[in-house]
Amino acid sequence: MEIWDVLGKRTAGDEWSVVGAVKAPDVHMALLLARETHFRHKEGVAYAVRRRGDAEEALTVGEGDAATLGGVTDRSYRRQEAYAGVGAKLRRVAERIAERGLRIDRPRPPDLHGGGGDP
Amino acid sequence: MTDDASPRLTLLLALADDDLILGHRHSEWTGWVPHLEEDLAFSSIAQDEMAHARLLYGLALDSLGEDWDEDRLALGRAPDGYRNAVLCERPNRDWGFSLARQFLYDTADDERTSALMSSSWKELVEILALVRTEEAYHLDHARTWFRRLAGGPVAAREHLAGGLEASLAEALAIFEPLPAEEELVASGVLPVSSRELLGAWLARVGEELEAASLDYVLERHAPVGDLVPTASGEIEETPSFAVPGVAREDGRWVHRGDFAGSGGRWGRHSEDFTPLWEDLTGLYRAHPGATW
Repeated sequence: MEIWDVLGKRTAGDEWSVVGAVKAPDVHMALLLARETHFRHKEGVAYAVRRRGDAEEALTVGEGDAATLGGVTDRSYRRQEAYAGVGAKLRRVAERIAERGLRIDRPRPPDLHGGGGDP
Repeated sequence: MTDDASPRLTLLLALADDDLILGHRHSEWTGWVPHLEEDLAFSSIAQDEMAHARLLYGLALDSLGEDWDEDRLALGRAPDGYRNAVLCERPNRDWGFSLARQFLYDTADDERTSALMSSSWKELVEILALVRTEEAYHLDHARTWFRRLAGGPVAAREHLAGGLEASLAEALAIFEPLPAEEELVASGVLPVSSRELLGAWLARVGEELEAASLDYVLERHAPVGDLVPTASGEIEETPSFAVPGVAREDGRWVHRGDFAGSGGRWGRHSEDFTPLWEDLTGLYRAHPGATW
């Protein structure tokens, strides 16, 4: 399968710049995969693909409206905010259960990459 | 909650539950799709479907009590409270099946949401205007893969055809009439009846399959057993025990008989729904009201 460079513009006035690459059997599939893998989160206003090795000007620009590229629905749930501050959350939970005379006594799961935790 | 639900609520739940349940099935491919780029693409589509369900649940909350919220609506109902089409709950068999199902479902979704854009229910129209901008991508994805697999190699084409054959009958039941549909049509909330939508969808799918020389899949769903003469030579009109199916008449594919795989719009699901429901709602049921 061929490799296609993915190019994008962050704002309308920008020059095209390479933002990544996809493997695809043809230009239509390359555009589809480029959009789905590199422009799902408002990363830019335009996208294009170029078969690796082709001349610089041999761009195929993706169709679509800049306003809708990257989706129009609320995607905040996709951000990994749930994992931010896990340590602090754990401390708060420990404090709250300590107020009830309880404590977390289950051992940490084993660390498969070595170090720490019970086997 | 849904036994005596208003016609509008049953419409919303049919739309939203289809997206939620199919989105869940799509998400089961994450990490397993044949190549990395498509893994990301299909996972994104799964998330889109769930986001669309969320928007529709938000509108449904307007007609429910204060003790309902999005999470409870999505995850806090009994299995017979879900109104998704049976097709959406079927397990993923192989990649060909999942793409065939996506092609049939997203074409159907495009047909019905296009009709609903002229609904008298303005709040629904506003939501669907957003949804359709993303669904256009899904349809493009489905059709691109459809054409690619249909064009070969042989093994890929066989997987696609197998998936189409396995899902076609239950895809028809996406358009199973809704409870109190007459009221929805009369009020203009549903501008086009489910039966008319089915006709338009089937004609469209028939054209695509014919163009790919895959219409033999439709021929294998021909209705059989209808109009059995009695010993006297008369044709009994009712009841009909015909196996439902599709037939080519006057240059287009049409639906004949009842629906295979029907019942989803009434809360009757297949044996595949309960394990899906247990998986989908497990965390919510174990910790109702939990927040991140």
